[in-house]
Amino acid sequence: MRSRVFYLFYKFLQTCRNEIPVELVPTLLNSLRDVLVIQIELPEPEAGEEPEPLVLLAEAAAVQDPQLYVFEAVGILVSMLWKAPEQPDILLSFVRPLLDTLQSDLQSVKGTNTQDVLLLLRIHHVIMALGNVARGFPDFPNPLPPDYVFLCLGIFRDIAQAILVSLEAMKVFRVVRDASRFAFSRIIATTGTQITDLIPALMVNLLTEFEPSELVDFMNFLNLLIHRLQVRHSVFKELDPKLTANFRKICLMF
Amino acid sequence: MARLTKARRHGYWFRAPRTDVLFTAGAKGRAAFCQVPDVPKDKRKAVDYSSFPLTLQGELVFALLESRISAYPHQVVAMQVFESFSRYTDFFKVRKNCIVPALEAMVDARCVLFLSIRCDTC
Repeated sequence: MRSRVFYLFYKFLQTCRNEIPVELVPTLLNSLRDVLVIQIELPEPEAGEEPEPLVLLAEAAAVQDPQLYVFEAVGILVSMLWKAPEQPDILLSFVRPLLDTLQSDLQSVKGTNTQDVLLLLRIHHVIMALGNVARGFPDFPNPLPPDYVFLCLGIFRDIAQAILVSLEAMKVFRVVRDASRFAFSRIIATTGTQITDLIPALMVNLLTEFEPSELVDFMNFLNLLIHRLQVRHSVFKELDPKLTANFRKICLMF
Repeated sequence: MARLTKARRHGYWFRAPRTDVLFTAGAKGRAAFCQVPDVPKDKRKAVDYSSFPLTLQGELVFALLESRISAYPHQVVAMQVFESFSRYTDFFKVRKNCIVPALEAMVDARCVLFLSIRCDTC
């Protein structure tokens, strides 16, 4: 029932965003802060079974998290304040706790050097939440109007870089790769061509530890990149030396 | 044959349809909630829909909002109210003053947070 409430609230905001008075938005945002705490729990194994922790992690990560709708609702509400100069500060107040959690969890995982599945699951959820905040913003316009101003572009760039750092450190884990792909597809829709310089590093990290079952998701992600960015030859030329070896390795898997 | 006779006896064949419902049945968007005259497509955005009277469906949604039944102390009632609000968002485009009360109901601590904390009882 909780998941349904989150979805209904998000759907209502999405449909009525043009009719909601802008003065109400800060009040709505403040009322949502308590609901944004990420709660993590692993599924309980069947009686008599003792599955591998990573299997439990994969199961937990595969479940659609209803809280993502609330993060997307936050993105919608913050995007409505596009005329306000304090829009970046407001967005940062929601994003900063997530980035701090991500940073601390990364340090914990690196420090202990163990496969703490709860930490990994939280990293996965935080990356997905960051991606969904971006999804609440409108798509980057193409062609770009001459007077277009996007105050929060720098913040989304920082988010993308944080996700890239996490991916670089945790690329061996499938859940982190999936979450990074998910988040980047949403951030790219919002930032357009402004973060294309991060794409080569993203692609290399996604392909270094590649499983055959990821091929379909990766191809869809590639299609999205080409469609959204109308990727020019120059970007692929830069990617080519790094990707050729990895693509060859992927082809040998089949 | 027996079924046909029974239907005729109980007047199923001759029950007159409700014309007010039929008149608005099939109307989509804003026209489902307020009685809108024919407006050219390019001028629809400039029309002030709040000046037109509500249809039966519009009055039902308005009554749902005005009754504040979403404050009923059971989550199932609130859930159904929110389902209606989310389904009939076009109503809020013809009655923009109703958006704030609807949002208040949704983010009221007794609703969203209450449901988020007490989800175990669902």
